Amino acid sequence: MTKTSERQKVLDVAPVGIPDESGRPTASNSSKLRLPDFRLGVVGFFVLVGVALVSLQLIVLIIAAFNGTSLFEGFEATLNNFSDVFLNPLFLPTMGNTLLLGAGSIVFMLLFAVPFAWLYARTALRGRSLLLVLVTLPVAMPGFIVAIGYTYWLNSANGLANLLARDWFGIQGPVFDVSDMFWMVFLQGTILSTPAFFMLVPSFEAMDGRLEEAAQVSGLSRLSTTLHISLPLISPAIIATAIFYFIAAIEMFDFAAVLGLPVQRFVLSTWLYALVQPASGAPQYGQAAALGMFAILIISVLMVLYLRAMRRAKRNILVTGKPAQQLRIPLSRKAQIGAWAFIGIYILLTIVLPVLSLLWSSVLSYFQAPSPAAFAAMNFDAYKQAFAEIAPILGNTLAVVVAVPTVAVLIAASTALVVTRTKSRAGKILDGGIMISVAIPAIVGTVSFLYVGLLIYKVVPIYTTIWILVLAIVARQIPWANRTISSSMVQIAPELEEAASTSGISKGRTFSSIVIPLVKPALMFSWFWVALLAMRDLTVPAMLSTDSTQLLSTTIFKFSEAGQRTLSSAIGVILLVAIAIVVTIFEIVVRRSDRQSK
Amino acid sequence: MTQNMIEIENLTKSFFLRKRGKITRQVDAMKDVNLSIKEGEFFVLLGASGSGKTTTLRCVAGLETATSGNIRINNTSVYSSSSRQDVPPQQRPIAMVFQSYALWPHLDVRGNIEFALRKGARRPDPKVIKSRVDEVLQLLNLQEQEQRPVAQLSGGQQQRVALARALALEPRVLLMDEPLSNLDMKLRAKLRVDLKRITSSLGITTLYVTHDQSEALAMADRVAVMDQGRVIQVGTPTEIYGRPNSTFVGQFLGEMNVIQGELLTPPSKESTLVQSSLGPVEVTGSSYQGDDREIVIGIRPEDVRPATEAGKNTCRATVKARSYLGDCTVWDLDVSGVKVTAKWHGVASFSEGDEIWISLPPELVHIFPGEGTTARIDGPKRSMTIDSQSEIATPTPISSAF
Repeated sequence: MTKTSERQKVLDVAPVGIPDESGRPTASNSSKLRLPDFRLGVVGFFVLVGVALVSLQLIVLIIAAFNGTSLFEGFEATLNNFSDVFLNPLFLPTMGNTLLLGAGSIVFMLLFAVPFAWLYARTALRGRSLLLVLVTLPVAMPGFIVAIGYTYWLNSANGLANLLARDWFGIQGPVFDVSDMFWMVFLQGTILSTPAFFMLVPSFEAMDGRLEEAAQVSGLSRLSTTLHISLPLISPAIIATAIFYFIAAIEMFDFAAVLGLPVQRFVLSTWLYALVQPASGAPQYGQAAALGMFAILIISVLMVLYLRAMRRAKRNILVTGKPAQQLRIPLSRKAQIGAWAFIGIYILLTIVLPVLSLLWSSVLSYFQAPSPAAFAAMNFDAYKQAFAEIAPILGNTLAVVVAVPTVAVLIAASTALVVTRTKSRAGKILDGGIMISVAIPAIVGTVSFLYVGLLIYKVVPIYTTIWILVLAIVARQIPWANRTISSSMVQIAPELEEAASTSGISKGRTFSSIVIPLVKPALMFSWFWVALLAMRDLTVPAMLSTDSTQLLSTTIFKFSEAGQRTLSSAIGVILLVAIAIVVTIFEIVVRRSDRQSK
Repeated sequence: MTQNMIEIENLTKSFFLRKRGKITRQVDAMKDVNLSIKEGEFFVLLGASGSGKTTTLRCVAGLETATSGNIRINNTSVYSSSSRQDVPPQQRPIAMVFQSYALWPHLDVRGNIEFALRKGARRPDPKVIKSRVDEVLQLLNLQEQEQRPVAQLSGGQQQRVALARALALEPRVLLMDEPLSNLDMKLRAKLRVDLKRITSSLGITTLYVTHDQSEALAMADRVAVMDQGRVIQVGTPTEIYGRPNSTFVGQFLGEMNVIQGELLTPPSKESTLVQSSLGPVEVTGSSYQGDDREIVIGIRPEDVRPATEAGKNTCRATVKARSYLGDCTVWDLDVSGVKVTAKWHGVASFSEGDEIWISLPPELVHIFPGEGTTARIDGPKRSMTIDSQSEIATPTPISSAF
């Protein structure tokens, strides 16, 4: 009882929860009178930055598209930009190429991604974890490096494959021509297989193997089980993946630029590039904006289709339910060998061949087929020159690799907090806004940044600094980082926050001390991933880089376009090494934090 | 102990289902809830899921905002719809224990307890934090777990950490939302006693939500029974159990036979005569004051007594089935077509099909408003075959009380 009375005394002296002498508001004050919460302010600031970056792209694009006069001379409403684009003789062929590129890419993409996902999720393939590692590797390969690597193999004049065909088989004339539309489609589709694989695996894993067994014991053959049971169940997921990567395929710049631009074969992304960075004449910002709006419109329609397909795919998963234990289909010895040969071909195509030709090209002053003379001529001079070339731009690259992921993760985490951890209407609107920004192709959004950069150049000369690049790349990475972080935040039970607020913790501190530490793995993962993507991005820098804001990627592209093969190969190899270093650091950090959490 | 610590006035929370901006339906999660909880009281909100008990608790905590009404804690208004006031949870003098414990998984035991003391709006002088944490660790016997990550603790230990975290704040009001429901039965019974002992020794006012009637009866100083967003009855456990004010309360706490009836004399405390489906029944001590002659009477199965012969308040019953439960036996009886459940200690040697006399002690029969409902007998439903017939058995171990 003495304890009770002591306690009572304490309570009487200082009624807990109703601070007064400290100057803090008493409990009778309404919430509106509270001091502004610094941490909530930080969240609000980054949400605003994110909203500004997304809305800026759209608003500027609309203004630019309807502006009939030069951007420095004010505004003059017109529809001429649209008619100029639609009536341009390039319009129809470009749209045809774009459609072919999109559709063709997803065909080749699914050709690899579906078997891989099936092998990984549904079969007793030996060495499944190795399959996962191998399929992940191409993610680190920048698309334009793969494209450049293939020009060395398949170039009609002196491609290695053509030279070997002539030397070994005596075939005159080029067998392969890398500037064929086929290669653009095939290579891009192959590279897209990796992200598509990761999108398909969860659906394959969620499929109930017992449904297939039930069909088989009911007397259906293996083939008709596949056709009538497995395929209908998995097809919504495959369709959703196909639509999503169709969008990615028609936006992608790397392959179209490296393989198509030299022969003036345009697709949507490269035509936009040509309008803004013309080889000759004045840039056509208005037409670029009009074309960009057209692209956003088409992609928005595709996005709606994608969301519908996703909903159906999820419904199928719900219907089949989660299997207690995944039943893996046994593979015969022959099938195992066949599967691994297939995987081997993929790795050969996406990594081994392009890296080999890049390495080979980087040590030869002029390109030639392997021969004793060629081996004798090998030298590392290009690397000396490469280091001299990249020394002045290392600062730029470092700024991009550090600033982009940091800002992008701060914005994505703040928006994810608002979307997932508040029940407000603002959260829903924000979620919709982020979804819309997915429909803005990187190259279209970049047109907006370019326009604004030039427009405000005299007042704020951001256009010649690296920061406009940082902002443009950040804007492109927000949706992805937001999705990764929100899916992690959604899993935090609301009680953890309620427990904090009922014990007197402010909303802002609940975010910073409870929610953020719990999603730290997702934040780290997003940071490294965005850093990796920023490091290898070519789309945005190709449009926005000026002489003072070159990056590794633009330097490689520049030398490659100028025909300086050896030098661009050497810098390409350096970029790959840098990427490998980042990935290795990431691996180490993840392992360490895994060990800590255990 | 006379001062009211929590006062809830006319608290209502409605959800509006909208279609194209228009309100199409209104659902009241809580309707005109009025409660006064005294300082130091252990007050239990009892109800089934969806009864509004958790909504009430969360409104007191400030985690949800009611549509209208007032809430005062320690004579300070924390919510008032008329003056548009809603104090956020962190500034109310409360602490809360959650059903899922809601321990922060990235902090260890001490970290969980310390966090709000160091960073919260109600942080004490930093010098006293360590001693306060040590005190609650000792109080809940958690000294050995101090440095362990909370995810590695057993359910019972996690529960104690959650309680320690709440107590360390030295709240005026402790809110608990089914804190024991995730534990096994033995542990629950033990922690029930511990919880009551700790809160009463600290003199904390406790608002405790549960759907478990035995928990409510065992722990509460007073209980409020809720149903469909309304408070049906408030009282001490003995009042609520012994004098339920409705069939709902009677059947929610324990079991009750409910039988249709009609008043033969005006209701009075001394004696009321009822013509029921079982025959004429005299009721004493009833507080029923309705005008309607159509009523129902209720009697708990354990209050139904076996009798040796016909007499006042007795009737003839046929044994339909029996369930032996160890400490008692539950009998399904049939009285001229009406099912009556009786519960008697020990083993009685009746058999299915036996004809016996039962009596209904007048002071243990309750009169409830008719409600226009059909009689429900909320006993355990059993189906047993009638396998033997024998003469009327000898009286049960229960001595005939009257």
